[in-house]
Amino acid sequence: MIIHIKFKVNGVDYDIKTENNKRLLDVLRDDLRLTGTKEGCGIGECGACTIIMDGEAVNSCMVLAGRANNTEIMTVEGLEKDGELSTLQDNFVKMGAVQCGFCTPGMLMSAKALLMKNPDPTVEEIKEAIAGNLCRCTGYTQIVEAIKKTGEENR
Amino acid sequence: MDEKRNIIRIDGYEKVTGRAKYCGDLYFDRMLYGKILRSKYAHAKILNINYEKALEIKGVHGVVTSWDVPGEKTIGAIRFDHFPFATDKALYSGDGIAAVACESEEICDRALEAINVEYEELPAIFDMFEAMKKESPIIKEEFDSNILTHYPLRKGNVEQGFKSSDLILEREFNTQFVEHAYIETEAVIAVPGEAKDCYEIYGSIQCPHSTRKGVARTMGVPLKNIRIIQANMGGAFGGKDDSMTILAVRACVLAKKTNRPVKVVYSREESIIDTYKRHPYNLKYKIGVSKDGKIQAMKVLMYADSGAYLSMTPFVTWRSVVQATGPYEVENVETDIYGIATNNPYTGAFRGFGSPQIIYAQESLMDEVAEKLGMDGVELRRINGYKQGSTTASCQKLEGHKVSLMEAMDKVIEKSDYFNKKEEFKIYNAKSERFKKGIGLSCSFRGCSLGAEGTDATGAIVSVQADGSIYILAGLAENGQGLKTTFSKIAADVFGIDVSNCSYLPQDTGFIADGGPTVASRSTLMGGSAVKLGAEIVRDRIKDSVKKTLEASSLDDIVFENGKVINIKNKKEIEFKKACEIAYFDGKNITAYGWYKAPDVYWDEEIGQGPAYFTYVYGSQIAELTVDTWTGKIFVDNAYAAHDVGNAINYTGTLGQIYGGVVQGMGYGLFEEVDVQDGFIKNTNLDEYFIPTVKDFGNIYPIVIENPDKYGPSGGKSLGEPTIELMSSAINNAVSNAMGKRFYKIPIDLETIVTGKQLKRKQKRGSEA
Amino acid sequence: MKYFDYFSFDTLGETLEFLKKQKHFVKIISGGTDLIIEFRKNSPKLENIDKVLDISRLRVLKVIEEDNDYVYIGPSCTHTEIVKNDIINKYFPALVEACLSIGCLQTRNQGTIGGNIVNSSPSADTVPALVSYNAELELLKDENIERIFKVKDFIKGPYKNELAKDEMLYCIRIPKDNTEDRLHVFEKLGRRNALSITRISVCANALLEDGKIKKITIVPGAVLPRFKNMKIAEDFLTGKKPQKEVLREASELVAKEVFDEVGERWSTPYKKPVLEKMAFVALCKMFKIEII
Ligand SMILES: Cc1cc2nc3c(=O)[nH]c(=O)nc-3n(C[C@H](O)[C@H](O)[C@H](O)COP(=O)(O)OP(=O)(O)OC[C@H]3O[C@@H](n4cnc5c(N)ncnc54)[C@H](O)[C@@H]3O)c2cc1C
Ligand code: FES
Ligand code: FES
Repeated sequence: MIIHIKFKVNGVDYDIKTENNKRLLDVLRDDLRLTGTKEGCGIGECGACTIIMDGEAVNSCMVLAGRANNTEIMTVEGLEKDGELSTLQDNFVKMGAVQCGFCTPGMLMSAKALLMKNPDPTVEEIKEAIAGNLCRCTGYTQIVEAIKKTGEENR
Repeated sequence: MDEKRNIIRIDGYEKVTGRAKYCGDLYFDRMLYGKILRSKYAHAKILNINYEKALEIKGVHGVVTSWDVPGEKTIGAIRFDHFPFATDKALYSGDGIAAVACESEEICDRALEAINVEYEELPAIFDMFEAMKKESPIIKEEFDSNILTHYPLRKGNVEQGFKSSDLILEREFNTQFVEHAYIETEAVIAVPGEAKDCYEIYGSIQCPHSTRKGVARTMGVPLKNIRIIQANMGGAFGGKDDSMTILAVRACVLAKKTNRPVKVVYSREESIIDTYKRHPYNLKYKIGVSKDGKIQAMKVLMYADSGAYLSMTPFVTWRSVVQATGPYEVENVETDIYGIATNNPYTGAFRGFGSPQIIYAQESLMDEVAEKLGMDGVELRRINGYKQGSTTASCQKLEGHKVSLMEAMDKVIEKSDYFNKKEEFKIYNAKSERFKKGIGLSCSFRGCSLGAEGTDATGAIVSVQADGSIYILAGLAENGQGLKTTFSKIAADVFGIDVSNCSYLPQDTGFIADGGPTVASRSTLMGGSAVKLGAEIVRDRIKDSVKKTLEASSLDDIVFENGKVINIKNKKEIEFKKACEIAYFDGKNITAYGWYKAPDVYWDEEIGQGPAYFTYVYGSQIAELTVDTWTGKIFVDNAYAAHDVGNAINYTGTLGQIYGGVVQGMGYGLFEEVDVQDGFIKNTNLDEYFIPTVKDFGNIYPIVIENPDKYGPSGGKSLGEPTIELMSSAINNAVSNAMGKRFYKIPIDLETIVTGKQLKRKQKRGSEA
Repeated sequence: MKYFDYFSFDTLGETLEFLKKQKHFVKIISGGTDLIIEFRKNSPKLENIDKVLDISRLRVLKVIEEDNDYVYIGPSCTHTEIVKNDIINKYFPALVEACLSIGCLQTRNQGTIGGNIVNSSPSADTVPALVSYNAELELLKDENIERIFKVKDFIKGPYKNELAKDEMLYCIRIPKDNTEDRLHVFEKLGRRNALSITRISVCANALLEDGKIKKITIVPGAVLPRFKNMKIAEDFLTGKKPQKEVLREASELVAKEVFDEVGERWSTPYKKPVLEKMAFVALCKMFKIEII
């Protein structure tokens, strides 16, 4: 069954037809070729597929395509503005928050969703916000530091 | 921190913008998707495979089995014993029986269901000790027993040693199967090339040249026909080596059959079921010490479960034998390790490579011995630990590098306030009924690079462009560890310029010679040296060209600094850029190939003696934790890690390696175990295989020690692996310190703390009840 | 991934109409955090299902309201929405704690309380809280036919409940019953501190009068096939002063009541002593008695 979805991704309006039993993750990656969003488990346990949907961080592997109708979505590709890295991205690069980079898009989206609501979060709040994002490389420490610093720069 | 050394990761930009392409992100014209059918039994004869029905499904373009493998049926880094497609027999539950190529993954699923395989189930062996019994059937026909490998080591006379001991302690330890759990699962795309029988393979492939060998062999074509191009790697930790060769062969056979590009991305479940694990070990230690704490003798007997294939078992177990007695001077040593075949999932390379198991056991043992002698574990380690000029179990004299074991221990003790904490916790624990606090230390030495395991040489191309920007291409691969950045930094330093002028090209077997595997924490030491040599060749050629312009009387007067090329005698200088341009128009070849061969090492396999590695690194870690004795939950409040890295060329990256390794080590000690029941893995996704989240530990304090090594580029040496090998024993020792009770098996889970043993479960998702 | 057709309507009326017509072959999806995993596994539970009905966009199922006697929670409220809601925080702090303990932020942003109840896992975290507050469920067939169950009666066993095929959970209502005057606790144990299915949990609330326990409810999670109050311990505690030794004795009764019912399993040597300790910890925490 083909369904029709209208939604906004990174500020761009899309009006697409797709298979109804796809997940939003597949729509983003296969249909829109926004491959920044990753899949690490497919069952909501790793956070690699995290995107922001109507202002909240969600795992796109747990969202059916149809559910995305009339929503506003932001993915990692939407963070850079006019060819300039956002402060958050810049701090990730500078502070060693990125190793293999596979968890990074999801991690950034969780961090972004937090900062949108809470511009200068505490370490505890940061940990809570990224607890659903597994990273096997970095031991998280520099990720937390990069988000903390971004918050401090928001003061 | 020294700001200048805080260099910025050169592949950071693409990774934070989502532009970095991992293999799963690549699409090719007319591309099909592939999936693998795996064995229904842990050990079975394959009588018949019928896939007629699958071919009838719309969108199915090809089904392949072992019959379709045009060349040899096997691959293997050490012995050719591994079948990408089971031929006659399936030896473990992850063995591939057939593969399909279809228009979508959904269709693949349906096609797999339509394949009918007739098996004859064979008796399977899941226990190493069972496998070693004479009457047990031999699992692998090409070997004459289920004992696949045996490495002995003999030094002095252990019986004599035990006789002169005042205390003899015998302990048995067990470790578990562990999953690499890189967040990116395995992925490959095989693309038929333009020329006949040629293939290009893209993938998250850790050792492209090893994979090329396996693919060429099974496809029955010369090496030159296969080009492996490494995509960005979403983590490897040793886990994307032979498993990726297997996958590449499967995809390539599908590509040949369908004559179309075929992409295979494992789901997390497939990744866990199919690929190799860390070896579970059974370790029996016997140690004799005199009253004053001097170790007199050690006897170590170890068994490693190799599972159904040999994979890296010989090399992994060999490292264990070299390091089994730890960083201690022992006169009398007798060590044996056996690698055993079973019908379990196979085991292979994993960050640490045979060291986490032995360090867990031997460092736990040291604390227990000390306790029996009435001294602190630290004191016992000070008495016996390696110092400059000490001799190892294989009679290698530790010289030519700084033996920094004591320095690492001193620093980590100071930073953690170890002795005061011990006292504080004693008082706290006496008052507390529920929570017990403890602190524990462990330390290690580690041979760098491959050692006598294999040929150790690697190359790199440094190509300077006319405008002063630089390409680097090396025979070792970026697996996430920051090698691109480190190598670029090494080259940039030779030219006195900023790293941002360097670009690191993806590894491509078409362009660079086989530089051996990216394993054994050898990349900085070996690859870095090759880059440095290459850069130096080019630098000297540039010097030659600018000699006239700078009016230098000797090439030695010319230095490269801060983006300039300077004659130190007359202070004449030009921009580096300009110098490159001059060299370019001078007709100089400003591209060079650096080749680095490791110093010779040697090993006598009969008696396990010889200089195993050409240099070593030292480290020490401390865990400070709280045990909730009521629930069994352990929380590491603070972890301290001191590592001698030679030279922290990339300081931020160095810290990242320590943080990452320490957290993996915590997972190893506390949470992680692949639950294999009758040859089948029960926890096949990350909901049941627990890796630490950000909320599962407190703080980590890295301590970077730098004693430059004469062999490393600018003195830098290994770091990736030492960081993971120490935490489990530090935790075990801290738990004992907290509870006054010892444990001999990891992971130390909730049940172990409360009931004294792990409880085996048959569980369903969502109901641990 | 299992194949299915996808439906979603703008009004409750249309949704119920559709549900009524389809009978056996449709599955309601709310946040999807349980169901999508079943789809991915092609779970046998979904054998005859080939349609999913997405109710997540029905606004009526997302409201939280109160009147004099009850608080009404729409089943499509996410855990995050519950955590942030003032009414819930005022009357049912243990429910807030339970919701906060679920998975991770992403799961809480997506998963709903209705899904948690209807999935009926023995380790569902909102359920012990709901049972402890004596919550009730309104099930709707079409716009007029309504059945009401207490949460503890609704769940019949692991993943089994009273919901009929053409029925949907319409509302969760919880009696206020002076809950704002009570003490509350939700204590959860998982292997990790996030992304952790509950090994054991204990939820309780109590009303004190003159320093004595006037009323108390204790409901453990993840230890029984059905959720229920620990009657024996509750009776034992009623009328007593909440002192450490009394609470210790009550905790023993909790463990005894549970394990008398479930008998010996692989996990009993662990779960029995730990449930007792967890109950003790929860009760002490609720009555603000310090333990170290
Ligand atoms: C990573 C992860 C971690 C998790 N951790 C926890 C945890 O710690 N504790 C915990 O309790 N749970 C946990 N869960 C499970 C899950 O998130 C919760 O059970 C959640 O509340 C389910 O809600 P949902 O809306 O997503 O359910 P769905 O998947 O949409 O539905 C679940 C079931 O409820 C039915 N249903 C939903 N709404 C209605 C309705 N209105 N009427 C009739 N039937 C309905 C569906 O048909 C389905 O059978 C976790 C899940 C994941 C993926
Ligand atoms: S892929 Fe979605 S959470 Fe792992
Ligand atoms: S950087 Fe590799 S998983 Fe996070």
